[in-house]
Amino acid sequence: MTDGVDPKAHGGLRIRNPQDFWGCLALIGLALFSLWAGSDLPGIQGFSFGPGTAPRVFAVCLLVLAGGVLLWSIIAAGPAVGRFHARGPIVVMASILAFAAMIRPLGLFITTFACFMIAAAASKETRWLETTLTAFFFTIGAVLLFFYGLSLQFQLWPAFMQ
Amino acid sequence: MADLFSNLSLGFLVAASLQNLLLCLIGVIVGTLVGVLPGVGSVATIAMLLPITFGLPPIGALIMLAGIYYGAQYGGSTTSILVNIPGEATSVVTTLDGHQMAQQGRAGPALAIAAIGSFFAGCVATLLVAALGAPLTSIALLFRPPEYFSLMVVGLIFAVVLAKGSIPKAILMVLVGLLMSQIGQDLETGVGRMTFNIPDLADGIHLSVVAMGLFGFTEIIRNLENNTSRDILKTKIDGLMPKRADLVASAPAIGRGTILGSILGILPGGGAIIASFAAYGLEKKISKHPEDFGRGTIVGVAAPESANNAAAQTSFIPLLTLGIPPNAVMALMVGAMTLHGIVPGPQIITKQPELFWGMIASMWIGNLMLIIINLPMIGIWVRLLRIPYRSLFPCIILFCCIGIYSVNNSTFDVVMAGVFGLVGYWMAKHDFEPAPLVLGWVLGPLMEENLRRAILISHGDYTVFFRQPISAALLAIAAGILIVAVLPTIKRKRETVFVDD
Amino acid sequence: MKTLVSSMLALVLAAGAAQAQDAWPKRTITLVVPYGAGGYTDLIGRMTASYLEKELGKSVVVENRAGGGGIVGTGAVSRSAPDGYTFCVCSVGAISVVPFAQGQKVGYDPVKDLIPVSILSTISQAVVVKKSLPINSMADLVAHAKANPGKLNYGSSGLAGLTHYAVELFQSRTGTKMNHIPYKTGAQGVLAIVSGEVDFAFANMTDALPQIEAGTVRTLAVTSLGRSPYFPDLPSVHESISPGFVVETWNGLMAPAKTPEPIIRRMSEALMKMAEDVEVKKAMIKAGANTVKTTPDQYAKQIQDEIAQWKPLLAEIAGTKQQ
Repeated sequence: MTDGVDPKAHGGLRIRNPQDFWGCLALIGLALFSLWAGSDLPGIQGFSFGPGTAPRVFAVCLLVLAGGVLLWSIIAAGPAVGRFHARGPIVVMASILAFAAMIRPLGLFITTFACFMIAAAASKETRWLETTLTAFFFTIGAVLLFFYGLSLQFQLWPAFMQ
Repeated sequence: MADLFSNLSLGFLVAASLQNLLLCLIGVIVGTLVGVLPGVGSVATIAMLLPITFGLPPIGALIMLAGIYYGAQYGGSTTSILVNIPGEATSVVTTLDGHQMAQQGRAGPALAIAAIGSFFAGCVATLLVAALGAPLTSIALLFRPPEYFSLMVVGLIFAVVLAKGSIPKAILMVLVGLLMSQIGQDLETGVGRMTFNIPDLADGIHLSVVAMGLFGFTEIIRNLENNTSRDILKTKIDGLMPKRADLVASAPAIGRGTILGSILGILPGGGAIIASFAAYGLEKKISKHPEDFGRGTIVGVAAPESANNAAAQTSFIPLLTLGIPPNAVMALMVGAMTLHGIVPGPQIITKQPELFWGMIASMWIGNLMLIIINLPMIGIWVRLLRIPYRSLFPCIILFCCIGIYSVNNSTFDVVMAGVFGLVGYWMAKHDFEPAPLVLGWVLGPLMEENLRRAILISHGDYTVFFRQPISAALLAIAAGILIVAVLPTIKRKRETVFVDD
Repeated sequence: MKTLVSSMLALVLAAGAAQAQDAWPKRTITLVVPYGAGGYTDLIGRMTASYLEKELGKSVVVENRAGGGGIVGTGAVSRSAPDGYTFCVCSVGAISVVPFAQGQKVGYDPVKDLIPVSILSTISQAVVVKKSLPINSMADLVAHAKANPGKLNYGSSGLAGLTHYAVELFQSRTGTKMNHIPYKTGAQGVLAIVSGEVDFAFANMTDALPQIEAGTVRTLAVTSLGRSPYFPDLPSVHESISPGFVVETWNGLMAPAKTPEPIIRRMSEALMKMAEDVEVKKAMIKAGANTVKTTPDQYAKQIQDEIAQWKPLLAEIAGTKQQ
């Protein structure tokens, strides 16, 4: 991670509050990106604000304030950026993406079970036999609750099995 | 006064019939269930139950639907406290101190005070509606675009106040929320803003998607980091019911929250949304220990929960008399009414008194049922926290996915919530708080809409916000709060610089 | 390889469609509502679903696919399998108006990609004005607008709404100039007249009815061709000031193109029966809407007429914006 700047590092420009520094740098990026994304929107015309004015005002405010905090973060001391872990975010996201990809073609039952198993991989402490059993009972519970109990509009099984 | 009693007795006569009591009970139970499940909006449930209600008499149908609505509100706070997932904008604030309390083993008192506060607020608001119902409608008509704009400004200031960390960073988050809320079709011209021609973005990103990502998914990712204390419960469970000291501390907050919520709930254009934020911000400002807020103070649960419930109750006034629903659930109720041949409007109180008063009485009965059902449930909820986290977190992820998907049958929404989970993780590492961002996201469109409308109607006169007395007063309040909030921070900042140098 | 697979798929689909004709419906029918749960279209969709369930003897479910003012869900139906199990509860905006607006990409052709089955309900508009204004007839409104060009403010239910385009059309027909103030919902727009924010509106009957009945606004006319069943004394805009001016909002059932003709016919029969159902009629009229009996051909003709009416206007609006 680029964020892992050692606050005690000497030589060159010393950033005393890396947490705010890198945070604000990203927000400045966001502001510039939205200015670019909204650059095609018309601004004030007569009494009408036009669709482009409000996003531009918000983006400029964000840009200015983030710039201010960024400058301040060079002078005033603050905490370092916490360490990013990879396993949790990647596996959780994978489980969510799998859910989005599977729910329509494969139906509620298979999707719930599969995504439960994927999500469980996010923790190092998962015991696989226990997880498989939990996933199985959770899936049955979820089907009973969402499909039969609340009668939400899900497909229960894959289309080809109907 | 005599009117009040005759009206209320008419209402209770209608609401206390066996059939209506049963319908109310079904409503609050279904509502609680739906509210507890993250994402499964009460909108979807009510819509599904609508055809079933065709066979019921109109008043019975409405009592049941109203029961689902406030039952869901109630259930939503349970999820906010236990697993840090707010289902609606109104329960975002409850997560701040509620979930902290749960981690400290005080989930029981948090849930109990939410129930007690809600019940008290419900009682007061019911009486208020019964006593002043019709005249209150005229207050709503005093609020025009300039007033609404200024009200939103006050709301945004509260967003800054409720942050527990640095004020400038809270303002940054509000701005990010405002900016992101601009995604989607422009109301006035229909132009897509920052949508990159993706049709799924044309209506913007729904708040429940953002909230579930920034709070729910982020919380899971963060918990997975710590192997030693990954269980939600960091300490032993410390009693199920609030202690005497808790009640003494909460009582005035519940009172103030109720008043604030009752007033704001009457304003149909977003008043109810601001209620819980305003109540929390107010308590933090007048508290002797503002530093406790965000670290598990019971006042931080009591105030927003009572405000929220009071607002939910009084927002039935604009719904019934003006036909303006303050949120999607109530919009559905308007639809349900029209299908039952009841047209909400100024004449509803005189034309259909048994319906109006029956509903009001049933709200009180419903609140009573909720507290009777839920107080004994607290023990079960709290036990849920004892499940090892390795088994609990995949369940929460799946509940969230199914819940989000069920709202609009959109896989895009599910993926977006995941993305916001990652964004929230990044924000946590840089000590940016999600609550101000969410509030900016909710209020942004309302603020812009009313600002533009005010300028259009006044034909380009920008002084209109200062010339209207209510609007000017609101702006003065906003400026006052901002100054009070920012001054100490500036002082502290200067100190840090001087100390370090 | 690709062509082989796709032709095989087409064969399977065709076989499925042929089979479907034998004894349709065999399984659950889905009505896609391209708007959120709880909106007016959603309610109409759910009423229709519960009626069709009785009539066809198979379960009929509603699926909400909201987004982009109806574009997302309508587009999804236009691309779904034409097997007679997916229908769209369409609305006038996403069919006859939005696809023809300048710079709008909808991803479907409302005429070629969807087949009309039957209109489910229509709503006419009421012209309502602020009571403090000295305007008592449509002629007064036009005269007042001509005397004060650009001064009158009118409210609408906002984006892609006929409550906006109706007034644009009215301005173009009568040579007047007024100011548009969009609101999020129709009810808000009407309330803005009561509170005095705006001067008048062409409001959907469903939104205006409560305020008209309470006497908080003044009603001048209705926008349907004939007079309204609610107010037989009110003239229509067509008869009073602008001949040929007809604006009606409708919700109707449409199917993906290539849905087998017998299924369309069977569905249309069921819906025409629904239009005459006493209970359904009663519920619609109380809400401010009407039921109409339309054959698929009549429905198609109406869509064509509407497109002919709105397309030039939308081009005109886009033209004045660019100047």
